[in-house]
Amino acid sequence: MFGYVNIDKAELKFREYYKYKGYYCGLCKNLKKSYSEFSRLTLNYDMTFLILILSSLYETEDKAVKKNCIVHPFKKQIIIQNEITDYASAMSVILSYYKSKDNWMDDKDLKSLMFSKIIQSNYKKATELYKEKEKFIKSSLDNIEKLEKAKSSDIDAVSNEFGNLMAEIMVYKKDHWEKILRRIGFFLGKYIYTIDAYLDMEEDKKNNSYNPFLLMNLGENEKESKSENELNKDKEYSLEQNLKTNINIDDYAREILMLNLSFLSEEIDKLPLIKDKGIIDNIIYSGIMSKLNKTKPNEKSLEIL
Amino acid sequence: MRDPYEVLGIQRGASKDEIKAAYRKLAKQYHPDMHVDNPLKDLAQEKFIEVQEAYDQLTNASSSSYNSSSYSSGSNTYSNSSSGSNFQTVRQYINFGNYQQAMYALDDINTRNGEWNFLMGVCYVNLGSAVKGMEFVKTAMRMEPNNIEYKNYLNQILNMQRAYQTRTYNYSRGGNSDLSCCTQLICADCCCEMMGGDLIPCC
Repeated sequence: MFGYVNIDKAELKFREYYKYKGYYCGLCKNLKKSYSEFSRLTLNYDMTFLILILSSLYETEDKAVKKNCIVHPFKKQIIIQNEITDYASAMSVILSYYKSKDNWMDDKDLKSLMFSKIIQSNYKKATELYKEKEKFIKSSLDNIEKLEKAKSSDIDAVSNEFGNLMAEIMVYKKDHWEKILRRIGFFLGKYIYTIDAYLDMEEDKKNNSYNPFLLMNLGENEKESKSENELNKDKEYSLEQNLKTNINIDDYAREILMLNLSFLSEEIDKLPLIKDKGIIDNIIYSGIMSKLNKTKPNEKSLEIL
Repeated sequence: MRDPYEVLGIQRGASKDEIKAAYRKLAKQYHPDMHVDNPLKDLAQEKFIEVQEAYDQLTNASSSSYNSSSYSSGSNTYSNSSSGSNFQTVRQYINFGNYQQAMYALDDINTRNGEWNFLMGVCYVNLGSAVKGMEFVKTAMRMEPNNIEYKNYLNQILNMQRAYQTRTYNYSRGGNSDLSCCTQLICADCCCEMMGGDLIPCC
């Protein structure tokens, strides 16, 4: 996972900021305790968002303590943990195991190989706890790999797979909220995959790596145009071409991202969230877009905030 | 079914936050876990379900702006032709949330009219290709500019998008409540000064 789902620090209240950090540090401590020191390198903000939503929905009993930690040796940190933290750290370990394995396969990156070997035992432990989830994560990642190998130019098709993966992870319990949580996960995952592809366009172009946005620019690939031809029986149906030739990639990507976020916020709004609502709103209405808006070069100077 | 507002014990037109707070309070009160060895167990369970349903109804939890249930009526314009009955099948798939199947059925229909484009659009939107789907709906609207169903669907999504954009725009600007609070204070100060008093001494 990538860390796109972050807070907008400047707009948070101090109280909320410390609480958010508490959840983040709680996940970190939990990874160390349940898995290993190394598994902490997997920590990320997207998982903290999952903890926030599920803790708010299920109004879990939080345990808050002040502790020292190696990352911040001189100042005691507030650490907040609950049952969701255990779940999130298991998911986090499984995801980063596959991610590092994937990095090794694709780029022959030795660091990734070492890392995947080191956390392998942690991965096994997490898998034992959540067999079904692990199966689903693996099959979604396999599907993504297939699409990437086939050089799919359909950003929606590829990001849907990551959406399905996040949808599964979002479902902590099979209960009344499952349907909504699934949709939240779906739009969240789609957003993460799409923004990652969009912001990596330059770099992927340089490295000649797979990126659906780059392929879109060059037109459709053969496999797709075949099925397109089948659909093109009718003259009036020339929409696909319109879409492919008349668009600017930036506008198209932003349109996809904004629509996704609108769907996401519509779904989140359906949950009876009261606890930590201020932090959740901060993320969906501002923090989540910070990386997208940072890409405007003339706003670089504001980044230090 | 009882009036959902009544079930939750709130006024008609209550805000979303009020609905959520009322739901939380009652759901806790009637939660099955709270009444395990209690003679009122069954009653509590019944109440719990009622509260849950009332909440879902008031927050539209089961439907979204993009999969609105308004298709069930459908348009009967085509019901006499053979493709009309095919479109009815597609609408049935859509009603059951089976968008992939609906899309396969659409592929088999040769009449690529407004209806076809609209249904294709709905499928795309619900299968995660919202931008593409909206293009289809727009095409449907160009073909049948007077069709209200197509227009409503597109507007629902556009409104949702606009609502989100407004909220993000207002978010970093302090929101409305803070502003109105300050404005009220300053107004009150002005009023006091007019009458010789002073609410905020420094201005």
